[in-house]
Amino acid sequence: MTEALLELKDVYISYLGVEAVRGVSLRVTERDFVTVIGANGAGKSSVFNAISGLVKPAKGEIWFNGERIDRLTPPQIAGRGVIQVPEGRKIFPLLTVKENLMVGAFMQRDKKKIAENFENVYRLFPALKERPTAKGIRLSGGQQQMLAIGRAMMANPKMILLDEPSLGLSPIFCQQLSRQLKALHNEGKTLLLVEQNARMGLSLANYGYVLENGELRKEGTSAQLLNDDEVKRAYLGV
Amino acid sequence: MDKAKLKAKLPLILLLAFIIFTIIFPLIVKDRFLLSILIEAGVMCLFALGFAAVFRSGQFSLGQAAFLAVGGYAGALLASKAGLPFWLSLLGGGLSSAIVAFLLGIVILRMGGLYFSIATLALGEIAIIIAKNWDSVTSGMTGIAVDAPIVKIGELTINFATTKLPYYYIIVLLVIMAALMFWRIDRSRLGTVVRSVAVAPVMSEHAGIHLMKYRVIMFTLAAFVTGVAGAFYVYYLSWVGPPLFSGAQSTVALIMCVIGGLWSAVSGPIIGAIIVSYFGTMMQIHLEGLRPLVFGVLVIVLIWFMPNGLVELQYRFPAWVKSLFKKKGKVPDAPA
Amino acid sequence: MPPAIFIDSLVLSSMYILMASGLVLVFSIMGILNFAHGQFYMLGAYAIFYLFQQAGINFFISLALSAAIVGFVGILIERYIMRPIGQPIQAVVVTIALISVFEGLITLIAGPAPHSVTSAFPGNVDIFGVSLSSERLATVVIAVILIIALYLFIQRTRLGLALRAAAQQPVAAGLFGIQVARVSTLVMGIGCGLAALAGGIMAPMFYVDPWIGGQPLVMALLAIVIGGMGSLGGAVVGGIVLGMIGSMLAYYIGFWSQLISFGIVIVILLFRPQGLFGQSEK
Repeated sequence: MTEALLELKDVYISYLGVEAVRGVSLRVTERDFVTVIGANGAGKSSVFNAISGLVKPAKGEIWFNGERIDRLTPPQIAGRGVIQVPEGRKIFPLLTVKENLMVGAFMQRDKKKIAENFENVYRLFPALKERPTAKGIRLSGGQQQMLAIGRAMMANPKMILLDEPSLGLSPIFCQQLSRQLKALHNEGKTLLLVEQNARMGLSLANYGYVLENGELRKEGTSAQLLNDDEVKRAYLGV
Repeated sequence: MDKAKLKAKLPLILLLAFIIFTIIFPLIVKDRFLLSILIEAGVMCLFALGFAAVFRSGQFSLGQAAFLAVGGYAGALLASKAGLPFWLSLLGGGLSSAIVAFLLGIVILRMGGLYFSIATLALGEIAIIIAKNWDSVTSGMTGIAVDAPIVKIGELTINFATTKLPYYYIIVLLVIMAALMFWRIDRSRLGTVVRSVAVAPVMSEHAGIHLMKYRVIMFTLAAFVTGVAGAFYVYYLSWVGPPLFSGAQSTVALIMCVIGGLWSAVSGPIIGAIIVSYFGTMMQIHLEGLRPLVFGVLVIVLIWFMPNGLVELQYRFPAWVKSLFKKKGKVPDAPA
Repeated sequence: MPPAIFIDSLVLSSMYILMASGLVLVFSIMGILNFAHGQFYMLGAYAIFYLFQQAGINFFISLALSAAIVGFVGILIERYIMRPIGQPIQAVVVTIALISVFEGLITLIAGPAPHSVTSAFPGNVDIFGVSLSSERLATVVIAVILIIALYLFIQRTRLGLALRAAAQQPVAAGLFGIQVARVSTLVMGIGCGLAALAGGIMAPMFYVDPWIGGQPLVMALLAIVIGGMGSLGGAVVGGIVLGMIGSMLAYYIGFWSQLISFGIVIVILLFRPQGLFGQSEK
């Protein structure tokens, strides 16, 4: 088995005594595209927040790149190269597009690298290039999602966590988003995606996990999961 | 069997004991100075109760001293110029305050949180400016003198100039009445709804009309109580003037409520008001110039150790007692 | 309006803007009003009294020192008192308690009697044939430079960007490596330093006593309301409007002007609760 870039070992997360996640273990190797699917409230966001350090797991360990990270703060974890595109995008509403991207590059000191990343982002999302001085709040939902992903790219991440990026997007934007995520993966990024839109999530990824009521139900390659009867019935609406 | 029942009735028993204690206290301890501190503490209780009532409807008023002032001046004018008897002047002070609050309230309560606070702060300043400068009515800095009332009940004549005891009993009565009123409202269905709205603003859109109505009612009631307190205070001091109602007074109400405990509608403000008035006066006497410094530091230390106020002690103390038993090998039931 | 009155109103506006921008900065990131903001103004005035008046240090160096010292006091308070307490209402009460702490402390150290500070810029200057007090002119110039510097810091520097990001979306800012807690501490330092600078440049024009902090706080709050909460631009506009209204009314109708100023603020709040120039945030 290859060395995992990110590994969760038997993680439990609870809020005010209520267990939201019970004994979740998952692995993401470098250059992987992994999707976690599950219904609303299955604990997907909790898993992400634990990886990013926004909540501390009650039990279990999280390892990244050979280092245990579950006791670090969010800025420290970001500094290790794990960048989250949070649910609901959480772009900075009163900062311009360019400033939003600059915040993404906050930890980057190398001017040349920053310029390079700007170009990358603008190449992948030409819509952003057209209005660099527009305030975040003035963008459409789809553009805000692009901005959120672009902002993560600016941080030069080893791994990008995407929390429900398709939420609230029109079908056309969803297709566009799929293409962009694929492009991102082809560029060599490691992606961990959480999606309610299971078909889209699984068709993009090469490996998948199914989360139900805070526990892992199933895992397998995307092809396996897409052909699994249970998954078909519960998540693909077949 | 009756242990649970007894436990449920314990607060009521303690409350009755406390009321009886306050009634017989001045008869046993004949300390005129302590009595005057307690009377002022009573005024502050009404003041803090008013602040807490507005706060619990989700608004942060920084100008409650203005209503103390309106009540105080109205009471003084009714007594000295119109010659109204004591009780009616108190009522008049409360009513004028309530009317002002109602008229202002239906307008300024529409503003959101911080803006309401700043608007009330401005109102507090306006009240002082008017008091200082409207010479023909308020006599400016000279203020208005008020004669001590002489109350005749049947054959009995009470001259307030000779003894402070009547003031004490009246303010105790007023505090109990106000406390019962605010307690009832807080326990009512409307009170519960509004409190939940105050903590979960998402719901506020739905409850908008209710909320506005409730806020106006609470703002007006609080002003009424505060106005009565103002009129009473003026009688007690035999004088009214601008220094009584400085803007700092409004923040004192907040300090009292936080020290007592903001999560209880009635006991927190009352406990806070008594503690702050008593120790505040004691420090004034014994520390003189050091007083502001020590006062400020003590407030910070108290908040540091008891962020939820002194009311928290009722949970902490039993837990502490239990932990004492635990060491002796007895296993107590887990604290709730 | 006579030129002298005009320059007076600019002096007042400068003070309101410096005070208001510090308050707004702290509010934007910590979500609480610092009620002791006026006492930091007072501390700044005393720092000038001791450094410039008593020790005879150059006025500008004294100003810089006073901002640094008072800013550091603010940093300590944020880091070791307000942050551990955490809850907003309790933190607000702490700032109220700090009013008595500072006023009491200064009364102990310097006594209750008012002090005066001699002007660093005596005399008058003639501009277009109008004689103006050079002290007042210098005050306005210093204030304008400070406000421009603050604007550049917030808009053009990496730290300024972090500050704005942390104020708008603290969680997201943390996900990109911005340490929001540290930014808050720094902002408290800057806000208190600004208040100290305001107190310092005003000290030679007014007297200095332990209780001078109350009025500037109230006026700064009103300026914020007029201009709209949450932006530096709002604080500037609000400060200018309030300064102009205040001194004009004082000149033409005397003492009742203060009342009218407060009244105007309430009227503005009624019709534009987000401030005259504020954006309403959804």
